[in-house]
Amino acid sequence: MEFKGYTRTVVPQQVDCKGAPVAIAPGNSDPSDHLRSPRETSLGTLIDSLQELVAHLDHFYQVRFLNRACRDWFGLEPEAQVGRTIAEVIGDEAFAVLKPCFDQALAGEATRFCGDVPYRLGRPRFIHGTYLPSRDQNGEVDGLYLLSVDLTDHNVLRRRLATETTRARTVLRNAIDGIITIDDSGRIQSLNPAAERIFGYSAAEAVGRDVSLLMTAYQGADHKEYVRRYLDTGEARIIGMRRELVGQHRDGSTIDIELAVAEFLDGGRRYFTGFIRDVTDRKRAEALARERLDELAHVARQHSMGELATGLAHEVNQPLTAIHANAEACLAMVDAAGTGQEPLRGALREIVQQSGRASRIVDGLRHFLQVGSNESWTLENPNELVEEMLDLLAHEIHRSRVRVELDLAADVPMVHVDRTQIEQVIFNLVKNAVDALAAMPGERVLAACTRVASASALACRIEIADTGPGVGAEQMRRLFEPFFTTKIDGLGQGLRIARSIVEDHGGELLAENRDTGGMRFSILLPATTDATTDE
Amino acid sequence: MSESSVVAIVDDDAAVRRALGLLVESIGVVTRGYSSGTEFLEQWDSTTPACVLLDIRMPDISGLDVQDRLLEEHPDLPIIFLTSHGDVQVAVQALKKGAFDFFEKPGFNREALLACIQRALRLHGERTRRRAHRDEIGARLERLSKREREVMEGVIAGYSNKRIANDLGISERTVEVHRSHVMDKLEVHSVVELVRLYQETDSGNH
Repeated sequence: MEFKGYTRTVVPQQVDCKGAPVAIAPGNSDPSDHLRSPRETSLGTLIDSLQELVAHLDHFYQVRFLNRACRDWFGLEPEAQVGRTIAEVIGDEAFAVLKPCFDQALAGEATRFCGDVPYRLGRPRFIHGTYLPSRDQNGEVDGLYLLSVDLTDHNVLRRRLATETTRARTVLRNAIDGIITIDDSGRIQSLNPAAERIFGYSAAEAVGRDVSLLMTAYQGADHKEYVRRYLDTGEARIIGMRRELVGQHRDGSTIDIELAVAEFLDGGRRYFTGFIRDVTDRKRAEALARERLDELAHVARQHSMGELATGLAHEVNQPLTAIHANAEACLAMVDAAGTGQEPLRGALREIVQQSGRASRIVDGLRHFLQVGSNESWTLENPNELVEEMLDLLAHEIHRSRVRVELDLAADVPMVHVDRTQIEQVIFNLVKNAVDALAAMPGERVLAACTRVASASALACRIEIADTGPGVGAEQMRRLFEPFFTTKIDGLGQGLRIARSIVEDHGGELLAENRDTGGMRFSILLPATTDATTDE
Repeated sequence: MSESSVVAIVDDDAAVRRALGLLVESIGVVTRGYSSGTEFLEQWDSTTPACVLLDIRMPDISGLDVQDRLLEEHPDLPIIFLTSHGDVQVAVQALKKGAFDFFEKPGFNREALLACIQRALRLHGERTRRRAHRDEIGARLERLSKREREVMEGVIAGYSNKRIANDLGISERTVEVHRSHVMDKLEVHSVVELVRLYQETDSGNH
């Protein structure tokens, strides 16, 4: 780089960014150039037109030259410059700050300054200055050049940018969702700590590798296809949408994730940022709840079959009883008549035996279909049953924005029950309540409580109440009838089965409209004291 | 068995009632059929030895509820339950509350059922006689005045006339008069008879 001052040719030192001189280029200029040649004049014009502040000082900090930018900056007339000391121009405070740099240049060493400097005419400015020794023909230092740029406005921007960057990085680092950026070829550019946790790879391991690393082989292939298609056709299949898919952890296990993708352009390249939520736990809970529902539905079916078989057995047993008793009566009469009549006697005995056989067949069927035998009954705490069913339905309760008021009596007696069946009853009642509430404006409250009813043999009381619309008198009357339902998608089996289950347990299931609106169902069950002493 | 014994058959199924009636009548007792517990409770008025064959599972009121009502209204009447296989648990409950016995429908044993009915009828006859006797003694005791009763209690306790007179603050002579009234009213002739009679009453049994 060659550069000429207005009085003489100078060779500025090249400095590195730390201000240390890196090289002093030997001047290759012609000494005669220092005369005011047209070229020199145009150079002066050039320097005057620069926005940077340029000054030339002598040994004694006296001003030899200030360019226009510099004069304007300090509000000086063109003729007022020469003969002043730089301290007068920039002010004593600024001089105190910059003097070390001046002295270093005067000592023959180029230097730089970057920082705030007091400004005679206003608030301190953030400047970037370069200070170069100026030399005479003999190479002796005879002063210094001073080049300065006001970066105050830049600096504000820079700081703002730094703050923005810090903020973005904080968000990224602390986001609950995993955030992964890939380029248009699928190479991972970055992943945040949440993504590291979800997939088990550190950022250092994953960056630069293909994003299929984090997917199952099956989905990985799909993903490549999606990206390719999008880049080819611009047809967005993922962008801006939420999708559920299966990721792969470093240890090989699969992870259920929810993915949303955003796209941005940088330097003409397309990048995709994926926001990833690990929904494995939620999925597992959902699967568990589904299993429970299946189990409960199974119990309900079994129960219906058992009821049917019991009813059938009873209906068939009545005529069989009549047949049996008639045959026995005839046998008694034949016996009373004395000896003889052996064929008649034999036929009557055959009737007795065959009616017994028919009865055993019916009974076998009933046994086969009945789940109600209380061999599998266990001692249960009603509070636990209620809490478990509320847990099971927590998702639906939450989704329907229903508030649960739980009031469980600590001294509620233990009950001897088929746990799954009673849970099904509670489940049904809670589900009904939530469904009833879902259509209600305003606050939706589901109240579940357990009580000791000491006055009655049915000492355990479980109540499920809602603030829903309740039911009319006609509906109330038919509530427990089979196939009666107020729900569009209901089968009208739930309450009927619920009641028959509770009755199988020697209890009662009651329904009523609350004074305050909504329904209340009460499950009354015998306390264990006599259930256990029975055996 | 006495000609006047009655077996009540309570079952909602007419065919079952007829068949059981035929069978039970083979031992020479009268039967009366009732199609529901309510009908039975409303109409039952027999004073002769009797028992009831009661179906547990009936649509109107259940056999167990009928048992509860009978315990109040006819506590001496023996109940033989007829149950289906599924109701064994209920039958156990009924036995605990004092049912006489139970048989499973439909394949009960004829001899066992008939023998059971006869035992029940005998029991009811005995209970009725004992109750009548107790009622009779009770009626006699009712005839005693307060003072006569006090004297009687002294006699039964084995006290002398003198001590009884002392305890009650009356003369020995008065005690003797009361004592002879007690013997007359209770129709006994000796202290031994008096004590035995007293023991047969409810108040003498504890």
